[in-house]
Amino acid sequence: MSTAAESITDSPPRRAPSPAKVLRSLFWTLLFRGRAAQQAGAQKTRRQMGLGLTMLIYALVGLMPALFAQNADLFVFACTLHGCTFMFASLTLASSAGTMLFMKEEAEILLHRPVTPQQMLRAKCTVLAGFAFMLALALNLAGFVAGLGCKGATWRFIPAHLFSTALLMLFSASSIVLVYNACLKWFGRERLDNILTTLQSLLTIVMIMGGQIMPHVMQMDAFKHFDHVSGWMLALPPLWFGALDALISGTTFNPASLWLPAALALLATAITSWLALEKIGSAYGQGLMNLNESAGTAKERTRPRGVWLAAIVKLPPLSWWLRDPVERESFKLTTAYLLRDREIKLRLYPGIMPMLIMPLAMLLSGGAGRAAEASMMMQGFTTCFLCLVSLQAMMFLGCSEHWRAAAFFYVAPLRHWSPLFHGARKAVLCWLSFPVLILQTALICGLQRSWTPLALSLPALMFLPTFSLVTGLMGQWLPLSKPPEDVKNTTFGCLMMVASMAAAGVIGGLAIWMWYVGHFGIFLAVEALVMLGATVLMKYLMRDTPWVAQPE
Amino acid sequence: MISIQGLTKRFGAQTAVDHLSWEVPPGKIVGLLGPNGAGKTTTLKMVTGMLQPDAGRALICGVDVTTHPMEAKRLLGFVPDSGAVYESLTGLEFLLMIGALYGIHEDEARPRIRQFLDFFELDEQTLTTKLLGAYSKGMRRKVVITAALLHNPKVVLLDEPLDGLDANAAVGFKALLETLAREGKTIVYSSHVLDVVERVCNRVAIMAQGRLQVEGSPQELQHQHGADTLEQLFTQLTGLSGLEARAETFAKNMLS
Repeated sequence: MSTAAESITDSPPRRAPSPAKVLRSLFWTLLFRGRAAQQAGAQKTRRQMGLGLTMLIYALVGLMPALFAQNADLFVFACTLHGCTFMFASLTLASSAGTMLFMKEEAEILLHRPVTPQQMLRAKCTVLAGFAFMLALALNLAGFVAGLGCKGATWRFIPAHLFSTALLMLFSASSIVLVYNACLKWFGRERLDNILTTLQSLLTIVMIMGGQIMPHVMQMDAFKHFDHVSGWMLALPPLWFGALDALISGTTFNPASLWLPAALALLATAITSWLALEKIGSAYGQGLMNLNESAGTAKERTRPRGVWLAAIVKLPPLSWWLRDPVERESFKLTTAYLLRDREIKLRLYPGIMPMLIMPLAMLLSGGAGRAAEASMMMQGFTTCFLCLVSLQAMMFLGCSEHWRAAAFFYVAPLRHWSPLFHGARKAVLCWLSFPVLILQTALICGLQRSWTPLALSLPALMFLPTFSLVTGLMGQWLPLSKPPEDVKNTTFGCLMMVASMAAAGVIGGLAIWMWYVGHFGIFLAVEALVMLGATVLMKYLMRDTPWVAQPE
Repeated sequence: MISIQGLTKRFGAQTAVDHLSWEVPPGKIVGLLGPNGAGKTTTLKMVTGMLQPDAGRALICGVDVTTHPMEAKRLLGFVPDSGAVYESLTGLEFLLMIGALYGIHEDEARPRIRQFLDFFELDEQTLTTKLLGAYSKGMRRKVVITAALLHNPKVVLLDEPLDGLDANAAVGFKALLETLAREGKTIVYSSHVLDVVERVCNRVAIMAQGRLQVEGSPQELQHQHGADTLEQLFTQLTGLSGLEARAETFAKNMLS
């Protein structure tokens, strides 16, 4: 008894895990849990379902390149697989990396603890690479099996592809961390926000356009009958990692020409990782502090803000459109957030980018071969499809990190919430929906060398303002008044999207049909009346939605 | 103890802290006062190793924060004014994570956390089931204070620590600070609330425009400068005189 007691007492105190391990575990949890402030247990199931669904989607997408395995050389097939992995997994990585690398208040939580900024950055990079590797495995699942059927393939393809995929994901994660970290080091906080928004929006565009282009690329003769690695091909990272696969597992290709790209794969990964984590990594702590500092390294702004905005709302046509002072102030508030707020910009612009690009990609992917009638039909739909922009934007603008400031709306002597809603809605129409409609129509006019698309955009011009009222029918809506977590509740949002697409389809389809039968003018007149009626009805219904006191 | 020698920090053309030299002895609670933009938070951030000084150095119990940051950081606990936490962790997960960063194993950390829990009257179920994002401001502040004191630091730096705490918790926390000081810990208490500083702190340091204006016990300083209260001394030294008259004029103009 006493011996047992002594052995317990004498046992050395258990050592805590190393800071690196603690940080990896922390960032892994944060990546999967998001920032939702709900019950921890309830959140877990939804999180696992979300991850499972993402993996399933990636596995399904992975079937596409696997279809091209038969009769292809293993090197060509490996390059195709790495191309797909590089695009899809890396882009998902890019969108997650911004949130993880640039948490605004992180400096105040961790930088005074005994951890170095490099340790934090290494842990983040490991977690990001691990996450990307998981997605890449799902994406390559079918490819692992299909690759065994390629010309020159041996069983060694599976371990070789596993290794090269892990390396590719490390290269992607390091590259993204390097780019973001360089931005953090060299640009001020304000410019960094704009750069990140642009970067994420561009990545979304590349992903969507890439999805449209990929099947065409894989059908190219250059890819089907590949016989040597030329100069320009050496600039393509998927080729480097494909060469690694081919050298390890076998190929019909001349191995001598694969040594250089394979060496590039190893070298590029090593150099990028060193640059991201060691060379620029030491400045990460300072960058994090800059994110949180009121006085940063950027040049201080001397001109007053918002002067142009205050001036143009006083001028026609905005002064006619924004006669109510509450509406006008809500318009100014929403505009300021659309232009200035980091969180809104990072969520909103990449979020609405698919709505802007998808119709355009659909319209352009048929290209010249498509009949003029079909093209017109598509345009009728795509312009009305822009109603989703306002819907999505209003969903995002209802939530903000600064939601507590909405208390001012509740204490102000306002009769109803609708002027606040209309101000925000009009800002979305003015700065997002209408400019995009004009841009899209001008682009189609240019491509088709015709003025017809201009006439065909008129139904959308009438439809968009009326449709923007729909968000107000869902209940009391105030700008920036809910915590950001609320925007993640997407079931209702998805239903709204489907309903909106159906409505856009009906209006667009009817417009085109009327154009064909020669009654387009009558259609426009009827649509104007219907939209006017719908607007009056929706505004009436909104007025009946009571002004609810501030929720807990 | 804390020893600050010629500490300087510039943000562009603006000098936030200007050749600051200051000694904080052990076993004392020193109030750090100053108007907005005086350089208090920047000083604290340099002392904690969060910001690199442009010149000068800070020593924590003789350890240079710039050259030996890890050793220095292990000796100090900091409560930032933002009260920032990882909102998607539960309170317990957050505290265990912080403990692990200081090398405290979970088995050792849990009883310590329980002691703080009892002291602050925090609900254990809330701490284990709710994510920090759902905590009230006061509860979150209690978790942040616990995270700063969990590893039993020799030096404690507090930036507006009572913000969000209810009256009972604030009274208890002030008593805790006095006990910690008696045990020989060095405590720097930065705040805008002068009467709290006057009641809690043995010594007071007043900063303005990045420089230390005066340092000493409140009574001593009031006597030296012929001020009746700490508030009067503060307004004298920070150049904001005639505030009552200005307020009266403003109110008259606003109401007219």
